[in-house]
This record gives sequence, structure tokens and C-alpha cells, in this order.
Amino acid sequence: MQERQLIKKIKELRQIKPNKDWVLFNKKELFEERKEEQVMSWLFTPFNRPALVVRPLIAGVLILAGVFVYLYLGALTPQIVQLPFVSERKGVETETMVASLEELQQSLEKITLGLNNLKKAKDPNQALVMAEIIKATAKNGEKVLGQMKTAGEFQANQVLASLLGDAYRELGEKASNTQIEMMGDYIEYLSQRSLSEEDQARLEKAEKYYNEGKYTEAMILLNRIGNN
Amino acid sequence: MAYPKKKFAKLYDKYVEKIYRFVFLKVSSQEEAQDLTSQVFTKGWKKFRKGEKIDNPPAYLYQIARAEIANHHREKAKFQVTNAVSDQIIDSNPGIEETQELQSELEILKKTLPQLKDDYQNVVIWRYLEGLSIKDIAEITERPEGTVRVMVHRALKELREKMENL
Repeated sequence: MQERQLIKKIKELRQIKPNKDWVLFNKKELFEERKEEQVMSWLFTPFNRPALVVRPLIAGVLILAGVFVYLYLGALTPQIVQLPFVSERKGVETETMVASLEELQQSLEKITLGLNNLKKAKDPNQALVMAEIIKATAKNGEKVLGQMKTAGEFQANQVLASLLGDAYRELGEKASNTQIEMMGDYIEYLSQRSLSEEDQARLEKAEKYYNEGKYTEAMILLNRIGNN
Repeated sequence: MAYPKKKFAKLYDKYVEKIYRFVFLKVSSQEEAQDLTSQVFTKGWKKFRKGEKIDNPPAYLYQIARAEIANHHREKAKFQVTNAVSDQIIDSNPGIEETQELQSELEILKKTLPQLKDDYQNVVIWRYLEGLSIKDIAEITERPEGTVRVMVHRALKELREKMENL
């Protein structure tokens, strides 16, 4: 067989094609929300009133900060003062830390559910803001857990704090990815609508920021569209 | 306009057929090819949505495909699953004489191709089936262009010899 004939035969393998229905179905599946994300969210329910959502989140961050201050300042107390009460303090630390870690874990689960439902929000602007808040909360959670891990005296608590810290970091990354995706969709949606001259300029600038990876700047401008 | 979902959807439309074909030639059934192709794009999309820049889409997707196929073969070897049923290459109307003849020739080629070592199979598919440039193949395989050129030549020679010996 000549080389040319063989090459021709190889090219005929181009007739191998995937089933068209499968191609379409697979594409749809690729961009569709995962089924487990369909759970109704505590975050999504009060969506018309962001304050109801923002307040608990801020409170959560403050609690985290409080736990950190308690443990961190506790760790700074001179050893001589601690010595007589060391076992008592350890007991308090364990109880407080375990309770805090449990609370943090519960918050993490709830926030994750909320994040999964953000894309279904009716108001994309609010959804973008919520994603930003979740990002900040996750970042704070990760930071506080990192410090709790260092401040804790028991290995089990340290391990748990470390695992939770990782989970908060992943949550932050997921929130960031979700926000980027939602922002892209929102820019696309706005670009198909007729906007005032001022809003059009904002949109163009937001798009520029978006393409440059300056998502916070883009979000601020997007939030101002329609709010002249 | 450039948005992750829209951009990746375009990549999907452009490359799904090529990736499927590449995978199909390396596995034994349509179902496996569909599953693996699906995994390739799911993994690609996960990375893409994070904002990772893709300079060379075919190289990027073929690299994922190669890893998925290798993983698939490793997993399969563990369970020693053998599939006696070979799927038809072309999803066409049965009963047409010409198609059957072509099908038979292609079946021979499809059976011979896996007899080459994996690297040779890849370069034959990429160079002659998909028409990729030597430069693109060098990028996918992370090898110098000169090496790829030699590989392509040797692979084709070996395939021709095997076909003639059938």
C-alpha cells in the first residue's frame, strides 16, 4: 500500500462522528446546574430583603472574630498566671473551641447551600453582591480558623480547625468562580438591552474591567446600572 | 463578546467531534467514548471557568483526553473487563453496500491502529486524521518539533507495514 493511499484511508476515519443527540445533550449537561444544587436555600428565600441575609453573615464574622480574640489573647496571657488554672482553662478552651468549630461547620454548610442557589436569583445585581459577601466571609472564616488551629492546644481541635479552614478556602474559591460566571452572564444580558448613554458607558467600562480580571471594580459599575 | 460560558460553548462545538473521534479510536465502545469525551469537557470547563487562559485549545483538550484515556485503561485493567461486542464505526444507514465496504476497510484500520504504540497512534491521528501541524503536536506532546516529525514518519511506516501484513 502506498503511503498516500494509507493517508487517504486514515482521513476517511473522519466519518467517525458522535451521535448528534448526544452532542447536544452533553452540552446541555455541561453547563447545567448540578442536581444537588437544587436544594432550597436559606439564603435564597429572603432574597428580596438582603439585610436579612447580610446581618447574620456579618454577625457570623463578628462571632468568628470574637472566638479568635478570646483564644488568641488567652494564649498571650503570661504562663505564670495560667499555671494554677491550666486544667480549668484547657477545659474551657476545649468546650469553647468545639462549640465554635461546630457552629462554623454549620455555617459553612448553610453558606454553601446559599452559594449554590445564587445563580437562580432573580436580581443578578444582588446575587453578585451576595457572592462578594460570601467571599469575604469565607476569607475571614479561613483566617480565623487558621489562627484557632495555632491557638488550640488539643490535636483533635487543631485537625478539625485545619479541615474546616480548607473547606472555607474552597468555599471562597467557589464563590469567586460563581461570581465571575454570573457577572459574565449579566454583562451579556445587559449588552442585549437598550441602556441609557450613561449606563452604556458603565457597561462598557465594567466589561473592560471584567476582561482584565478586575471583578470588584466591574461589580461596582454593574451595580450602578439602572440606579441613576 | 468573551464570556466563559459562551467561549467554552464555542470550544465545545468546534472540538467535540475531534475529541470524541480521538477517544473512540482508543477505546472499545461508543459508550466509553461518550463518557470519556464528556469527562474531558467537564474537566476543561471546570478549569476554564476559573479564568485559566487557554492559548491552544486543541492542545489543552487533547492533553486532558490523553490523561482521561490513560486513567480509563488503568481502571479497566484492574477489573480485566473484556468487551466482545465491537461497535460500528459509522453511525450510518445499514444495508448500503458501499458503506459496508468502507466500513470494513475502516474496521481494519481501526483494528490495526491500536497495534502501534500509544505515542505513534496519537501522532497518526493528530497529523493525518485531524490535520494538526507538527508545531501543535509538539505542543501537545511537549516534545521538540524535530522529534515529532520523526515520530510521525516512523508511525506511518509501521502502520503501513502492519496493514500490509494483514
